[in-house]
Amino acid sequence: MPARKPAFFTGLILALFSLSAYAKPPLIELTIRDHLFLPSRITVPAGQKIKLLVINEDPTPEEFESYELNREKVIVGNSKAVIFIGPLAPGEYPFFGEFNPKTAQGVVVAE
Amino acid sequence: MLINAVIIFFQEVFEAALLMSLLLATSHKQQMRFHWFALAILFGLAGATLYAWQMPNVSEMFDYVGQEVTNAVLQISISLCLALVLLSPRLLRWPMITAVAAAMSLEGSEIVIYVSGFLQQQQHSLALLTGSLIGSCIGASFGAILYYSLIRYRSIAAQRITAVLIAITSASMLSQACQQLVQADWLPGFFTVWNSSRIISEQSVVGHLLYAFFGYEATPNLTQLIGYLLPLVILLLLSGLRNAKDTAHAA
Repeated sequence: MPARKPAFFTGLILALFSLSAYAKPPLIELTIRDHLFLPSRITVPAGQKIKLLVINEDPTPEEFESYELNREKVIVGNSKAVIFIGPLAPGEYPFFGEFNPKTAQGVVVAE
Repeated sequence: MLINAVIIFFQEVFEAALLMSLLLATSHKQQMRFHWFALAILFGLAGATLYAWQMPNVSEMFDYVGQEVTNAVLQISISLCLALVLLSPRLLRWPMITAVAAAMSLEGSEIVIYVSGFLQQQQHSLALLTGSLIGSCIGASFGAILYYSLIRYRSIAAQRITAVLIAITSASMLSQACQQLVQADWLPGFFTVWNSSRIISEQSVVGHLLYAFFGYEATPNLTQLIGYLLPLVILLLLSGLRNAKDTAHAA
């Protein structure tokens, strides 16, 4: 049954690719500068895990907090942090900087 | 006065104060002296300072999720120590010291980082001082109210309430550890089991109180829920069995 082999291998390769897609969630960058989140609106695919890389360019610490996303993490000054979020149902998920809540505001939009 | 400082200090002090009150009430009932508590406070202050100071290094560990892993380790230690205190027939000094010191390190490090960042950029240190004092006092008074309500009655029912609250706090800590490990992608979160944020928002006063007392989450994931219910059921069953045995011995 030589005809079936390519189909089998295509299937295997596809499966491996989807496995690696599962193992590596999409990376989205978020910067903190002058106590602001940039960009303040992030669009992400719904139903998928997302790796959020938060880069704090301020010399002061900030705390990424979101009741809707169920996330909370301190990010010290001039440093990076990784926060995994989701899989999310379509919708808007606000987040804020607990140490500077007046200015540091943002929203994750899952669609 | 700085309203943000009030909120941050209140939240952190409140959560640590409830745990302290539960353990202080337990040791009061067993007529134990409070030396252990002074030692726990000292370790807690040292732990909070050390954790805050090392936060830049800790955060970079394990591909930038070192903070979640460290928090989870602290929360699991608190949970285990509380389970030991609950189930052991005699009072255990070191688990109580460890639980209080770990809770203070967890909550206190955030305060230290907030204050250091604030002092770095602004001059309103008086506003910060007033805000932090007010926040800490409100948080601590909730702890004091809980402590005095628990020691007021010597009945078996009052002791059972303390025991149930310790079991709930232990379960809540394990569930929070699960949440941290899901955030670090070390554990799968599966899916959100329910969403009660429209009924009781976690941002509301009631939501905050329910969170501190019972570990309330408006949108828990499956791992978090299992991490809460499983230890709670086991601890309540085991402590119930112990009580039944004690009663049988007494009779």
